[in-house]
Amino acid sequence: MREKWKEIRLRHPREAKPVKIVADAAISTVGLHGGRLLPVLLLDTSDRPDVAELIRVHESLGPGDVKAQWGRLKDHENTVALFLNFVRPVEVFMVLEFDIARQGILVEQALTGKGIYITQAEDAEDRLTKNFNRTKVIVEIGDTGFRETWDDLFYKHVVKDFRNKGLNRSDSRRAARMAIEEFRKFGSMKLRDKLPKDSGGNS
Amino acid sequence: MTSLANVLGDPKVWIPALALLVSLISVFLSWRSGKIARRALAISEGQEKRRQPQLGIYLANGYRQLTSNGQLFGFLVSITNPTDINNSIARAELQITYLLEKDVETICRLQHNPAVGESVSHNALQAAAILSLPVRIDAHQTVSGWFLFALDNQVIGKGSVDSHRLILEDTHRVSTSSDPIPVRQWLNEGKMERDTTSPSS
Repeated sequence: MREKWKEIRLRHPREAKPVKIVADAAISTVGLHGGRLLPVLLLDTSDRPDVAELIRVHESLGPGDVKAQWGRLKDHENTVALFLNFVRPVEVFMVLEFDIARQGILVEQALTGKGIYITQAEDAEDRLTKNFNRTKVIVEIGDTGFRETWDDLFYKHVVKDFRNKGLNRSDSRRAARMAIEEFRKFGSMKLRDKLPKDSGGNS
Repeated sequence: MTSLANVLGDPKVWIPALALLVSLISVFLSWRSGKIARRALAISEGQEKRRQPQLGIYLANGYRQLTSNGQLFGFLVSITNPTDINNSIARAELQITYLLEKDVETICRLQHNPAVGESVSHNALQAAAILSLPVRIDAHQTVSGWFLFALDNQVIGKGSVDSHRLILEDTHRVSTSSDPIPVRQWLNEGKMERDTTSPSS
């Protein structure tokens, strides 16, 4: 696919800087988003009070609307970016940037699960397990036509990463294919909806 | 006289003169048809523009009522459809801009909630119907009524409200927003009486 560059109009200069991902995890919930495994991103909102506010307000006002677009930031060769434009209940624009080799599994999982969770990190060392019940906002990411581009990018960067770690060209390619296959096998896991026990199992 | 007759009788003169005349006439005709075509284009562009969805908002009144757990907002509006196509309002939202600490501006949107009408006791509400979405507005028609919103104290937390704006979205997902709206305090009738009489007592 041919690259197309577009300038995004921002409301505030702080929106141009990608929001830092402090930690990540993955959650699959029965009855939510088809039980798909979705990545959870713990965001450093110290420079983005509006993002912290978005997460807080979501608890009171419930679901809203967001426009999501995958892309790349100019002169950032080894990353991909997710541009999120929240329209309701709070208007916020944010960019999440992922290092392809290091955080590619998150992108892979977001594309497979068609969504991500975002939540607020309490400090730089925070992990989801430290407070599992924190407010999480689910962001649905529909098919934006990025999959084909991503498959190509991900493979090339994983091969490059293996090459940097000392593997020869053919071994790097084989290892990259196997690693991506494993990621996908793990990522396609789903928790199936179960009928309540007292429903008698009919209909 | 003889020389004029000679000139007119000489085809070398009158044929080019006739050709010049014909070409001048054709220049005039093409100029005139160009002018007509431009007018026709302007008319059809105007017609096409009138086929583009567009809504107009006229705000007659804006009120606010404080409650124990938040604020209620009521806006009496007239919505016009000046276009040649039928349309409808699919969504009505109140866009509230509020300031957090260090003057960080945040914008949230509340959905129109007709059920809020049950919590408002003011007579002004009886002046028009509470609009229930979706509202159909045919071409060149106007509808009028109340849009009501409830803002829970938890939503803006410690933030202070900076401005309000009404946003309408039509069937074609075209949004129309009002200018920032000033709101008046909405008091119940009994309270209003007390308020107005107290200064003189």
